[in-house]
Amino acid sequence: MTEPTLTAPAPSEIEVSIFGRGYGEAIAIHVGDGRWLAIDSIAESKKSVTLLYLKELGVDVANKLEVIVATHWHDDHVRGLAHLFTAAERAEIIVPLAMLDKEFIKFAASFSNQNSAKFSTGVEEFGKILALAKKRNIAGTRYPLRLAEHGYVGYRQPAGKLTHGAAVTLEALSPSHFDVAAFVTRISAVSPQPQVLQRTPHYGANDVSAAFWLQLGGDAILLGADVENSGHPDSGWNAILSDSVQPLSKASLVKVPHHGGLSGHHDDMWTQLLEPAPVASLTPWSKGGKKLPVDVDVTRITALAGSSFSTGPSPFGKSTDQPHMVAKTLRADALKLHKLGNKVGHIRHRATVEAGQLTWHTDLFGQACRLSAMAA
Amino acid sequence: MSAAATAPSYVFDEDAQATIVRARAPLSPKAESASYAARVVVDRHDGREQNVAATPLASSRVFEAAPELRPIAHNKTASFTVAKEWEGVVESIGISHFMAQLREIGSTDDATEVAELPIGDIPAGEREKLREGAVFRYLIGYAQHRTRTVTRKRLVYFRRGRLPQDSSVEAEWLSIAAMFTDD
Repeated sequence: MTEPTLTAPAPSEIEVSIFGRGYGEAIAIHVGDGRWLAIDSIAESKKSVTLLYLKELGVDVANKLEVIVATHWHDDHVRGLAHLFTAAERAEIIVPLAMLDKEFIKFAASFSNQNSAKFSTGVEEFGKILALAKKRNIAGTRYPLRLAEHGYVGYRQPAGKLTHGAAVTLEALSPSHFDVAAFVTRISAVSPQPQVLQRTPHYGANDVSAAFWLQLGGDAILLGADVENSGHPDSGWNAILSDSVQPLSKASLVKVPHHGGLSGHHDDMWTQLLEPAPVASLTPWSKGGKKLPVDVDVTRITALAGSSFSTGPSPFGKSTDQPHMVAKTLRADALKLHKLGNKVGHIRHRATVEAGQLTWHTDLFGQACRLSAMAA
Repeated sequence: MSAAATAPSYVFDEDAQATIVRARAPLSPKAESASYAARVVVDRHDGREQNVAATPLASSRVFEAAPELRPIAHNKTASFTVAKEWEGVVESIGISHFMAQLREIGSTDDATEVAELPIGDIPAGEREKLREGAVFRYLIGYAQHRTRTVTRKRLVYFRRGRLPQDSSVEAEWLSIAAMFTDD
């Protein structure tokens, strides 16, 4: 099958491009008139995939990438983020409020020299972003670093300003104050151990993941980040869904939270925030031999969504070819090395604004596929 | 240049209390010359590679055993020639195996492999270091034992943690944060 061509969207078109590599997630959004937002980042050969894509489209990244969002600091969401921020000279970068808390900084600084050359982590990206933000900060006039918590508006264009005529607002749905406080308390007791080199540990940081709501006229897009459903009324999706201020409309497109896993699922998210049978896309994930989404997640999401897509058929690739001697040594104990899928999959959703509503058309590139193709 | 000449060689303790301590003495002046550029010493006590290409092997540094490890007698060592080496990160730990992400040393791309590896590949004295997030080296190669027999062997050794960054990093980051939060 021939892939569709990569062309820049028309000024009046909305585009949501989602990239994944089997492990990692990045989103590029065209809000109209050549203006772009970026959510999270993945890297290919240490270069931001979002940046490579925008350059391929001929976008003036230095001036037209206006906002970059780091939903949280996990390395599957921030690899290449500093590279992207460096190129986007006029962009503001939004990070969750908890990332500038003194306890998080103490935690991040203490792990900042603990990582291996082969495995970078979000802590290193965080340090680079801080340094760049400092360089670009002009007190009183320009603040390139912004802090997201529930209710924060990170981008706004009034109705009538863009060619499509719709107002655009990007608002953070999370993290809640409760989640920020709980996260800061948890990490305050953590420091590196001298016995063994250890990657920066994850301590429930999905709790401070920043989900965003992009309102486009009378329609919307829900960007679910890695927000989870802990069950606590003031945490994660419960906090978002019980808020007294709810969005103006329902969303016709959702980036499914937490890679489609059950921990990110909340029934009310689908009924309260989304139109019936929305377009749904996700990026797969794996850790410790476990993967997301699993088959029951695929079944659930395909039943709830009108159409659903994944940036790849599986987080895992085939077993890797090894030199004869190595293969023989592994085979002796039935050991297998699998590639963690590392080819970029790209889901491109495009829509035009008609009577305040978005009608989506989806193209798939690289490894991207319909979500149903992930079922065993 | 043959693969044998370029492969780094190590000395390891056959009793598996200590895995890799110092570079192996050259087999011959010719082989030494051919393999000089690729030779590294791995100090298993901090896990950092040290290139000794510019240093005559006769005077290259021999790393001392860590206090918790048994001193290694020369006659208890055997050689290990690496066929392939990865850096790994422990993702989860089971009863007999652990899951890890691996990236090949020397490879220029960032391709990641995942594998379920036997805990038995970790020397007994190292197993207490097995924990989620731990960074290790995984080696597959030929071991020549004291008896002169040669076998294929897999080795795991963990990299030692570094002292936390000095507080200047924290102070710098806090000062930047204050620029954006003290309004």
